[in-house]
Amino acid sequence: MEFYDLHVRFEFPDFSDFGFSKVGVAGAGVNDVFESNSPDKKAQNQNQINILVSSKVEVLRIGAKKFEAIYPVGFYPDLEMLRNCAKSGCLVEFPLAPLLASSGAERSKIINRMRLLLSLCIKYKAGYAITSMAKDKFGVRRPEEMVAIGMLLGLSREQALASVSSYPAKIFGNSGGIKC
Amino acid sequence: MLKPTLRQKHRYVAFEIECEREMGRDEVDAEVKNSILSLFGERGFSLAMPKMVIYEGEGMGKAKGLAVVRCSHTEVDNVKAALALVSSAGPSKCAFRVLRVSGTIKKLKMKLAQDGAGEGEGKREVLDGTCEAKLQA
Repeated sequence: MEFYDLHVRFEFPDFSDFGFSKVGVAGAGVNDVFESNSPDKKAQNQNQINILVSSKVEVLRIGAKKFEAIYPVGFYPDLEMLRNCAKSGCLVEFPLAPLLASSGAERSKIINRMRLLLSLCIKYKAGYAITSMAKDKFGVRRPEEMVAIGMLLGLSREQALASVSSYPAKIFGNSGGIKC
Repeated sequence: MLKPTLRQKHRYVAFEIECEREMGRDEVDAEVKNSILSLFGERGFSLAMPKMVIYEGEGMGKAKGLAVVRCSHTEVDNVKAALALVSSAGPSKCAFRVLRVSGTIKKLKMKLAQDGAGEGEGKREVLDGTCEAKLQA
């Protein structure tokens, strides 16, 4: 089985050391904020994966129809966004970075919101992907650990495996490249 | 002494430690236990009952180590999740990456040795678990 990490924010000589077949490397610098106020895709490139990162619900709803994946900052559970994702095949990204950066009660709240949104993704048949969104090598986790965290978030083993293998594989297959 | 059918079954989880600085055995042990405790609470900790059994990393000269934690066989996935969520040790960044899980230490060492040999140069080779590890050049 092949594993994929859809969203990583640093360059590394060989990500297969971590157990991944393909990794999506963000083109911008590690300190850039990807907040988007507009749902329009910029510089569409067939060899790129476009991930929309936003906290605005309206932007995410429209972006779900146009982008390959979306990351709803704050994990707000919006049903229209999920329905749009299900129709267009857009993935909802669940990165580990917010979990690693927090602790205690804050981490529990994030887990709670991720769990709710993930259960809704399954209910509305929207695709989902667990990613690392790592800014350095210390943020990268192996596929087995990402599966274990998926199970912590309420997924079954098969669903958690799909989040790091079959769902991202569709995106990589369509894009033909690893830059995002 | 309990009958074999009644005794608690364990699993041995081998994980790689990558850190900005060298970490001692007690420090790694504390990080693992604190992670399980904060994520699953005292009840979850009591179900998992983690115990560090092997640690290789001191005196290696590089900020990378290998450790094996024993836990209950029903809580392996939870322990893996807790290991994955360790991101720092004090002021230094670190990452614990699970390599293998096995029911016995002997089999675990065999699997790790096979993994190390199969991946070729530049990979760690665990010999016999007595604080001896070779980094192939």
